[in-house]
Amino acid sequence: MKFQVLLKLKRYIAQIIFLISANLGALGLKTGFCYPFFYCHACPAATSACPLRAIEVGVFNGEFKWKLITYPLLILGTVGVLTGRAVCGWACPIGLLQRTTGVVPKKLKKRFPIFAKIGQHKVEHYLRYTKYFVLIGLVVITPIFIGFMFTDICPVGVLVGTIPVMILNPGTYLANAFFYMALVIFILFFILIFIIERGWCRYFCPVGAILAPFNKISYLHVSTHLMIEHPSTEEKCIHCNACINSCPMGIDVPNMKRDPECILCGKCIEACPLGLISFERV
Amino acid sequence: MKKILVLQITALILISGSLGGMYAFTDVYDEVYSRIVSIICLSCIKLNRVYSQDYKIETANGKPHPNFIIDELTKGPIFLAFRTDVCAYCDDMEPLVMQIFNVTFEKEDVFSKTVDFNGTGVIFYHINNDHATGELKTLQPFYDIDGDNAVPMFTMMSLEYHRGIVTPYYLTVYGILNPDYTDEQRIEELTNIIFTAIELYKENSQGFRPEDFKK
Repeated sequence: MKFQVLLKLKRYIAQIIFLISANLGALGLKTGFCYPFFYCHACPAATSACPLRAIEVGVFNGEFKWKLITYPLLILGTVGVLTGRAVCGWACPIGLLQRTTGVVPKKLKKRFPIFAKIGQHKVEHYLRYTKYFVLIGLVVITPIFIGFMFTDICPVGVLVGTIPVMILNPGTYLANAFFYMALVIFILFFILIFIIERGWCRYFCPVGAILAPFNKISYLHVSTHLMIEHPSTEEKCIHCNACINSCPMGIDVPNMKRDPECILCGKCIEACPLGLISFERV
Repeated sequence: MKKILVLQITALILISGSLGGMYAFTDVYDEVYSRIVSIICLSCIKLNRVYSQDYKIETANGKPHPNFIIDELTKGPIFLAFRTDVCAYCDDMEPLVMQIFNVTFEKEDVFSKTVDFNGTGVIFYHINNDHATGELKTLQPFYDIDGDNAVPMFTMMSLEYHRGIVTPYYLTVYGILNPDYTDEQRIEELTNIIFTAIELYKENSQGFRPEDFKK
């Protein structure tokens, strides 16, 4: 029990530290780094650049600026090889937002079975590929051919960029051509994260799409010892499904092996009554 | 040694080595800082600035900005005042311009000068088309949005973030601005234009890459 509380606390502390460090621009600290997670440099307090915007600027109108394309990918790649998608669970401010809103879909699932079915429908597995289409389609292809960029309609840009800028500079700005489309997507984003736990991470996050494949080779990962005798406990999985029910990404934990969707949040580790799931290195 | 460990070490060396190489041997850090982080990304916030006037990005004649204008933009916002020898409204407006910039000149003068405007250096050009030579002689069509060589013509040039890059941004006004204005209102309007240009310049100058605009 103590371990579970400690893990939860550690994750909260890490997320808050990363949230603060992502917003040190408020104190004048602006850098030339790209965030290794999903956050917008249009936030008045932003410290670094959105990795997606760097890629978009790199490919815009077919002008391939290789430095701008490879730089964010290498930053995400370095983090990905070391920790896989752990940044989604431990560092991303939008992850923290979804962690906070995650209590709502949990309650909805308990009260209304329809909400449980939404996240468990057979097509749900395929919907997870949407984020790869968003990454390739809207971050790479449309900026090259028609000059339309994902960040033109990004809901996180509305949340941490548009709203604060409008509050801080009343009367200075007016809506551009994409504003209302972005506003609709922003509202849908909020509905999504209140209906499905980690709905944005699961289906749409292009940064998650870049990081996901690194789970297959990452140094840090979540490992299950369910069907074999666990060396320390000598207990076998009792198929209680506590790990599945606790997973915010809706992963079939007992059968997962370096799942690209795993954000290493450790909720399954906390939930397993026999301690058969753990973080592992290598 | 486990295969996965070999794979991890190889991937880590390749990726982090390339990243370190980029930091060491390229200006990517400065480029991301100047092009993305240090400027307000208007398309990311899905907003445009509210201007009382109509700012332009493309030149009026569709040609690239002259190189010397691009060079001057690295130093500060530019105010271009065009006139001809015979121009009654020029004679009305120029005393106001002199008052705003605290400069004196004759109507035949063709010159440029960096003037202090509330602590900011603004590059002031006075161009009499009847006496100008070289690049200055052919400058007006670049910024003459009405396209009829009308004078007096005042162009305020600054920088703005547009679709991923910081680009020259200009506003052209003509004549006495508004026939109903008093001189005080004209001074106020021109001053507001200059203040807006300075504000834009301060916000965006970090990200301006003149080489992107040179012919």
